[in-house]
Amino acid sequence: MKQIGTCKIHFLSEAMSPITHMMGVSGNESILNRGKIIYKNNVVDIPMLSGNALRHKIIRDPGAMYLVDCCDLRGKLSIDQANYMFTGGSLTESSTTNNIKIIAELQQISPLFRLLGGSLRNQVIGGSLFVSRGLLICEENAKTIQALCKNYQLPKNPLLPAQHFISKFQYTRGDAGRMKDAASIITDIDSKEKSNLMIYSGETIIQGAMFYHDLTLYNVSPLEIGAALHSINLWQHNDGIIGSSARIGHGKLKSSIWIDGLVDWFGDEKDSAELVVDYIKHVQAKKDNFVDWLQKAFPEKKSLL
Amino acid sequence: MEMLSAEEFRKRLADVVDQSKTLSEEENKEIKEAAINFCSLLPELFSDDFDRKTLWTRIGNGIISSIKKCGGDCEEFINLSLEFIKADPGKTAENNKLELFLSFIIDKSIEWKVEFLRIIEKKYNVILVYARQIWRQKVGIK
Repeated sequence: MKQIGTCKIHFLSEAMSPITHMMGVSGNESILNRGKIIYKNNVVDIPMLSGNALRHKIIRDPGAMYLVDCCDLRGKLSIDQANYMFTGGSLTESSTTNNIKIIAELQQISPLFRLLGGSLRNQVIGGSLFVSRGLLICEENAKTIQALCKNYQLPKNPLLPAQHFISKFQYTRGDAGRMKDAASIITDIDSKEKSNLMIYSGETIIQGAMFYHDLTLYNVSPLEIGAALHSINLWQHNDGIIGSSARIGHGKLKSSIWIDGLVDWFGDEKDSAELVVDYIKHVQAKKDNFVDWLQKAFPEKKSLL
Repeated sequence: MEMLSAEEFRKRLADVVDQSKTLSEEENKEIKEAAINFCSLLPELFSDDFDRKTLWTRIGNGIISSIKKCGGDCEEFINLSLEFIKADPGKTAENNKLELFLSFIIDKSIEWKVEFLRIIEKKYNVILVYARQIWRQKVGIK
């Protein structure tokens, strides 16, 4: 297979609804996830999307779910297999075995997991996907974004400061004991009991705000790029959800992309749609092999009793 | 999946270019002073229907709700704020300081007015402290 080399997928993602990607809670108020940056000789906290969340939502989750459906794995995965596919798995055994063969097999069968890496029970396998953080497009981040975007130029005029993109929300969770039909529904209703009504609030990044983020794929083949693009398409097709509170209409991102490095070693430009089709064909052709690999890599644990 | 050209990228980002940068430092200072000045006028027009002890609470609540409801229109913000404290239309019309304030802001640029509303929304608690200070000086309370 011809190697493509390194490929970078740039994203410009616009918030289609409030983004509530949180870092913690203060009282009953959620605080936006922020990162410290240096701006005009000061350290300031600017909202950002974590690389962890972006990696999971854009690539791992949709990509793994596609494999589950394509390989007819619903209801058939062990917890270790599901963890490997959906969360990257974890080391639970000491490394005393030689895994070279099983890793080599995975590299051949699954471009998605070649990209993502993950952990077998006794060995971590590195991936080739590196995800940036989601940088809010604002004055404070302008220099960094320009450096990452290279030949895509930012407007000459200054951008709005980050604070302009931050707003607040407040919701109320009701108390079933205070419903008008409570007495006819609940057996042990106690009218003297304090109300469980919960008011919760938090910060949000406003609809229309934009983020820059990217994926760098190091030394990858066309199939891995196809796997990444396929997952991105699935993520976008499902509203590009990021952060919490998607259940109440938050966290929708609409992304546009541009790609650096779709030229192979022979100077031929690859078509992105073609790469996706090739990946899908590969998955279809290798689905039995992938199921067999999962069984081999995560065999049922034998009881010692 | 939409592929983005460099030109389209720049066009999209034009939506988040800061217009207020055209305002000078002096203008930004003037905006903050105008916000404080406006809030300091409200006690004079506060309705007698309300308990005077709730003066600044009600003015604060009026500012917050009016900002949300005014849709970026400066005059509507002022009108809503006056409604919230049930300002008497007669007294409002005769209030010279309010008239001066309105004639001061009427010719200001859109950027100035946008910043005026933004600063009030973002810093209303601090603005109320300064406004109360001015009001106390006016009525001779130490």
